[in-house]
Amino acid sequence: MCSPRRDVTAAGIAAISGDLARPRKAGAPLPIPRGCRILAAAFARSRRVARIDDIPEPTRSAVLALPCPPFADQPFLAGPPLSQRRVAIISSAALHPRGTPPFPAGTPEVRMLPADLPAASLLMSHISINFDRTGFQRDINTAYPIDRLRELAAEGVIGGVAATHYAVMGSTDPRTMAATADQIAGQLRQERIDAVLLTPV
Amino acid sequence: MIESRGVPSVAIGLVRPHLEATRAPRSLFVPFQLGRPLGEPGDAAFQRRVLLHALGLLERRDGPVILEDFAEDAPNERDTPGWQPPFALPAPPPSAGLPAALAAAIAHLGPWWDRAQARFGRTTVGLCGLPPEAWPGYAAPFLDGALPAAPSAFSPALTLRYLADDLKAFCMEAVQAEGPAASSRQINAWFWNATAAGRMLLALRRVAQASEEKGLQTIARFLVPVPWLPADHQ
Repeated sequence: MCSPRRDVTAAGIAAISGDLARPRKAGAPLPIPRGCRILAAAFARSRRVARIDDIPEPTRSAVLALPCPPFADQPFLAGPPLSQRRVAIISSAALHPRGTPPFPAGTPEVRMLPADLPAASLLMSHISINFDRTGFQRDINTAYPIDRLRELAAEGVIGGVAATHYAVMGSTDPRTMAATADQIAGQLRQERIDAVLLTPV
Repeated sequence: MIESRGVPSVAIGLVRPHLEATRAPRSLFVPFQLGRPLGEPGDAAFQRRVLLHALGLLERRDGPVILEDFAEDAPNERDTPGWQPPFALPAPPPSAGLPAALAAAIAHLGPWWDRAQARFGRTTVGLCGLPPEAWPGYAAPFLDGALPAAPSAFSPALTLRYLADDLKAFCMEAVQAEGPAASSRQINAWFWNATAAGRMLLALRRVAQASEEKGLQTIARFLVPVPWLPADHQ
């Protein structure tokens, strides 16, 4: 059985052959074959999917070895249109308000982040040193897109922004976090939130 | 975990194998570097496209499981041609030790850090509970095998780990105070190859690794990213 990528490659080569075999006027420039575009798109897709290969070792192996237990069930909840939904962020970047203790390593706890917390009051204390911080240093939205959510709410694209957002320590084993998930879900229900955006780092 | 507790969710993920393994109800794989789920700092239009794609999955009815790939790479992840720090670091006096060299570098970078705060409206420094000018004095005894008293409820070792995070943030923010955005690789190359701060963290890592104090042994792994370890430190 051919993989989808091999199918695309074969289709691209066939299209190039067809393009080049097509009659053209003497001296006319060669057209950019349609097959080249197909192959370029396939290459771009394969590069994106293979992005894990860009992470240097030993970080790559460590990232791939992180526990990723599948969900015990397969929930899939419907909801109102996006324009009526209130959205909350759950970040795994160990974000917390300035003046509060950093996240201890391995903690299953959650920190509540009020939506009106000024950007200058937000710190990151993730244990891992293997992901980029320079983007977050320039712009909190790189990892915590609170300003973008506010803009979408102001435009009516989403129904609103939650009053509370959430941060956890992303390196913690998720199997220890059931009580935390209960705690977050309780707060979400209390605030009548009907969409959660998860932004792991 | 959240959806099974009654709230619809969508994840933006940077590691596709994780998304495939967890089989979350809805997820968007984004081909950006770790730490940047929205991709591009300072590019609201790009971040918006990522966000709209992810949120749009909430309106789909063809799950579970929905896993899509975001179609764009982040435009500025590659090195910026010709990028240089906006300042030249002063050469420390030849006889000065690492703490003195670090103190000189921090004093030099201070005004640039201030500019960075003005540019970005904030700083991410603030974990260890000490101001930058106190960092060399706190770190120095570790190099001699001593454990200085911690200024807060953290242990000395944990304070040192947070100091390392603060020191990296201080320098990396300062070097972004002016000019075009450098890639994270360029910023890290400058920090680890050309600064007294990088040399200090490498030295502290070596000391912590060799220490008999358990806390120091633990934090030794969280001072220097392995890709930036010189060959003689590995």
